[in-house]
Amino acid sequence: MDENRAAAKPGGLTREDVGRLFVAGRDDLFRLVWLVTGDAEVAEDLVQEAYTRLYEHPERVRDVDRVDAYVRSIVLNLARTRFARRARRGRHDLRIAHDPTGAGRRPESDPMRAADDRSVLSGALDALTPKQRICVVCRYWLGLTDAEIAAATGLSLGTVKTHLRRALTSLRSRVADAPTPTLEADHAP
Amino acid sequence: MPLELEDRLERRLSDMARQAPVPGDWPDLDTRIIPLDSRPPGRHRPVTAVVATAAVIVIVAALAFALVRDPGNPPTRAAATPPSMDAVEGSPALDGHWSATGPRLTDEQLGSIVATVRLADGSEAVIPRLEPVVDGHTTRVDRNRRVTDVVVASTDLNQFGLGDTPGDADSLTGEQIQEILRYLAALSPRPAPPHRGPEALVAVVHTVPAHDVPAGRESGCREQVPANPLACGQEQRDFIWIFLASGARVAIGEMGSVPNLDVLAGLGPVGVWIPDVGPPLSPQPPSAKTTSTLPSSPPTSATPLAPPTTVDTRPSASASPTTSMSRRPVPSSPAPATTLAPDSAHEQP
Repeated sequence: MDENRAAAKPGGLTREDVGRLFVAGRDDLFRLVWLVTGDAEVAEDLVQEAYTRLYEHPERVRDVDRVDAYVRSIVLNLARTRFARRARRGRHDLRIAHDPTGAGRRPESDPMRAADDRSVLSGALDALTPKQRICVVCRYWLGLTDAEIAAATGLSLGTVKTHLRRALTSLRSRVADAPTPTLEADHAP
Repeated sequence: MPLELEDRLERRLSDMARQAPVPGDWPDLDTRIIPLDSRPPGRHRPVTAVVATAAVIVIVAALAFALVRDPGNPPTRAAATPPSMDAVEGSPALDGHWSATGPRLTDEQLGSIVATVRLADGSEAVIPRLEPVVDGHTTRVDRNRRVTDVVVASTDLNQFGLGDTPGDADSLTGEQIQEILRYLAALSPRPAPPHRGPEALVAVVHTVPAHDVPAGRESGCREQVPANPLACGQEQRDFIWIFLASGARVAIGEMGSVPNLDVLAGLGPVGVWIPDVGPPLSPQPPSAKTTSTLPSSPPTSATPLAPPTTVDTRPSASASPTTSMSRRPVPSSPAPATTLAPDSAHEQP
């Protein structure tokens, strides 16, 4: 993301700048959306959509030094909109990114699943609401503060805190049912 | 060593992010933007915006149509079955009066002359400067000014077969005026106030245009039409007349002009109110119909609105037989009397 900031022009963005920002920041933004939505196709689409909007209206960026935060805000709002749209259609089936190793795809009857911390966390994250997942990813992957999450998502600060608190409560209750992993277990392949 | 949940989340998310299936070949941003730029304008406009725009257009069009169809005129007060003249009974009260304001009026005072008239249905309307009666169908109403207690029915004499021919208005007798007033009162959807009926008739008199005067009679225009203040060769002009039920009549003024001071001053019973200068200086009793306490200023020849018969107190019995109503039959279904905007009027307290 720092590459985006370096590519921004102090005097205002041009479309050529947006093209360079897209090349520099699309992968990181894809990971963010993929963690939130769990769908690579959706993540790719939203990232392109976010940069497309920036390309069409580069003048909307007031602070060029914070263009990465601006794009991140766009893509998170797009993700929220996508969540809401699917929820209205009764297809609230977005999940947190699945473990590409396949550990999360083990059947419920698999005795090894209980011991797989990644699977446990994946299942717990799946149970979160979309806004809770967005807040959790922003906090524990991006390392944003509550205020930064609120600015990025458009939610109020109190709402962000509430979502984080409830998300952690939900995660704890689900993880508590599983065996507590150790540091060694967490790093196991 | 057990890990805190937050630490486990960070590790787990970082691990998953590293293993995210990042596309190896991102499409060029231009390939996504170009189709967006090539979209026809408005194609993707939200449906709600389109519907709202259409609704606004329909509303504006409806309002514009209503205004064009009937500008400033309230809905016509229709009479389902207008009674005939013979069916009207009763004698209207004839004690209507106007109050005089003073012998002379300044131009500024003239501009503030108003008259409050009470229609036959009991409603009240104010005629600012006695001028807005346009073709006997419309008027402006000033709710803040009121004057007198004269019940007036306003109409265009055309609906009675009168008014278009020079001399018709001048030759109206008091009896004919009373008949017209009773007829107009009967047309009213609401009954007239007890013991009161229309006491005056406001009408628009169309003076004869010069080109309608027969050839060779140009020099006799005034003689032919005694009440016509127009000199020969002038264009057609419309004057507002007030016919009192007593048979008196007066040309208040030309359409759109300031009422003629001499005419008003010479009327005596007819009065005006000047709100800016206070109550009438010489209020007249209701019974004073023909006596004026004001120094009457005779019309001057320079005043175009000073007909020689501005005040006519002839009794109805002296009417000329050639001007009887039978000479010009009244249409069986004349238009209802709605010359003063009834919706704009307010009830007399």
